[in-house]
Amino acid sequence: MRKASFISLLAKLTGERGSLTLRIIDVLDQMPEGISITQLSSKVGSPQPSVSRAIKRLIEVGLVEVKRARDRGKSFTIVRLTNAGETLALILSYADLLFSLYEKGENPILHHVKHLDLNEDVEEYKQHLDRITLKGRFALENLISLAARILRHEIDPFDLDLDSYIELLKEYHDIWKSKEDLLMDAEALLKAVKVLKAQRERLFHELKLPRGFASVIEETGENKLGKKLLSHMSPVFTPNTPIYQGLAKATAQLWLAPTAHVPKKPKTAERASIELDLEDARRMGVVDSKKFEEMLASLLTELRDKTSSSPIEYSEWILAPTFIETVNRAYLTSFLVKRGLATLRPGGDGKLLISPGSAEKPRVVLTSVTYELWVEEMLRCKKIRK
Amino acid sequence: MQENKKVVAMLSSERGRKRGIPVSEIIAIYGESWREKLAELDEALQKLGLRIVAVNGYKRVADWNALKPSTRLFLVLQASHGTSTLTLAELGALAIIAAHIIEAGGKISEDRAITILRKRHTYSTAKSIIDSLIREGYLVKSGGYLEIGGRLVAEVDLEKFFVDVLRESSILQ
Repeated sequence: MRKASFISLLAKLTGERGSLTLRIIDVLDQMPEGISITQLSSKVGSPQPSVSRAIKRLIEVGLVEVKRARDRGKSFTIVRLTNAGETLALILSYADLLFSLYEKGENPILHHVKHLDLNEDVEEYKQHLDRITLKGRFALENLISLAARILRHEIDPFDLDLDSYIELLKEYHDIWKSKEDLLMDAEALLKAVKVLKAQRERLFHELKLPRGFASVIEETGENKLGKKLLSHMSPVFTPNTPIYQGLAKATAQLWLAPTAHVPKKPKTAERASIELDLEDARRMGVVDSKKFEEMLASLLTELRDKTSSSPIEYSEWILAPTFIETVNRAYLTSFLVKRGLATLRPGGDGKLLISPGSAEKPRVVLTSVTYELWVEEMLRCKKIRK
Repeated sequence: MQENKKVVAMLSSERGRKRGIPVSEIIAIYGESWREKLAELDEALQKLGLRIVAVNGYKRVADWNALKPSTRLFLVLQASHGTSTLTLAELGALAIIAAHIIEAGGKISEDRAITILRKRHTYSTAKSIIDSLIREGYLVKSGGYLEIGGRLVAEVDLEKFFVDVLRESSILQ
């Protein structure tokens, strides 16, 4: 009878999972003097109620018996195998072996068994096999716990030598017979794969930075680091970025011509108008007031340089190589006009002219910067240059 | 080119705190010639002052041919505008924590991060800075551990940034 048949027979006999029953018999076989149910449940690694149920069934079929024991004045119950149970345990240990020897003779997994005389020295072989199995279980449990620590990021993934790990798995793989051992083997293999993945990720994320750079970075002043980081930042663009909402819509309407790289005119869409003043922008943290003042000052200097001889056209003044820069220049110019640092006045042909200095009479001038106008203006400039 | 509009909308979308999309989603839209189409789109976006950034782990991928399905793509503003929703102290703290995370191989516990910041701040300030960095998507909290968030790798070329800082300090001089 093969071991699998024993497992199903035991399952039928006890009404419990055959694997748990087998494990209980294995443990009880190693404890001829008996063991308490609490200790037994911790050794088989199953909850006590399941173990108690399995024991109850085993008692009913006469494989296990219960005895009262006394230790340090305390009385407690121990369970141990009956004679029938011990016989079953012996059969379980040898069933596969006897069959494989009988059928194959040259089974490489158990080649060492050939040197044993089973009829005369069964006990010696049993002990030998148990020793190998126990050693293997111990090694595998160690590996699994080490791998688990790596996966919990407690230790470096490269602290585990995967080659010897796999070698060890190979060494013991053919010895495992019980379901528990095979499951443990599978778990160890799975952990090896996860550790390999962790090692790969570690290499993948490894930046070419010298060791101990974190402490050097830490020594740099926080504000200095902050400024430096800010200068390296290219803000992520989303439609929720408040100041760039118009640009977001223009971008979402982007339409590439299949033959040329010139973007087609986007369809006119109804846009919700959003008015933001400097206070709003500051409150939202979009602009830094100090930086903003610097930008205004630099724009004013540029305006003074460009209009030293005569005022220039407003659309030409705000035009920049990208739409976003154009919007920004228009936005900043509105502050120059509001503060009386620049003046807008109508020129000939419906053009709007800009020059530095304050207007005699304050007036409200409405201007708009749209993506369509920007494209038209860019095309016009290109033509002029040609 | 309806697909371009779809890709741009996806690139600039936010899914909760997760920004950017994996290349696999681009492949699903563009099909076999996705590399060429993506390069064309990037070229067109550059005229609008935008740029597509590809990130593998903590690293930027400059070569479109080196993109893998798992590479994440982000839409960023082309030029730095010197503005951020974070304060300078928060940005400095972010740089320090990011350096420790990279050195530790990808993660550090939140307690460790707080200990690092405690050298400069009180416990409650350190905790509030970390919460703010997590809320903004610069750091990601997973099972009590802090990892570098997608927003930070998208907005900053970390390798370039740290090398710049180190170059200014004595270590590389």
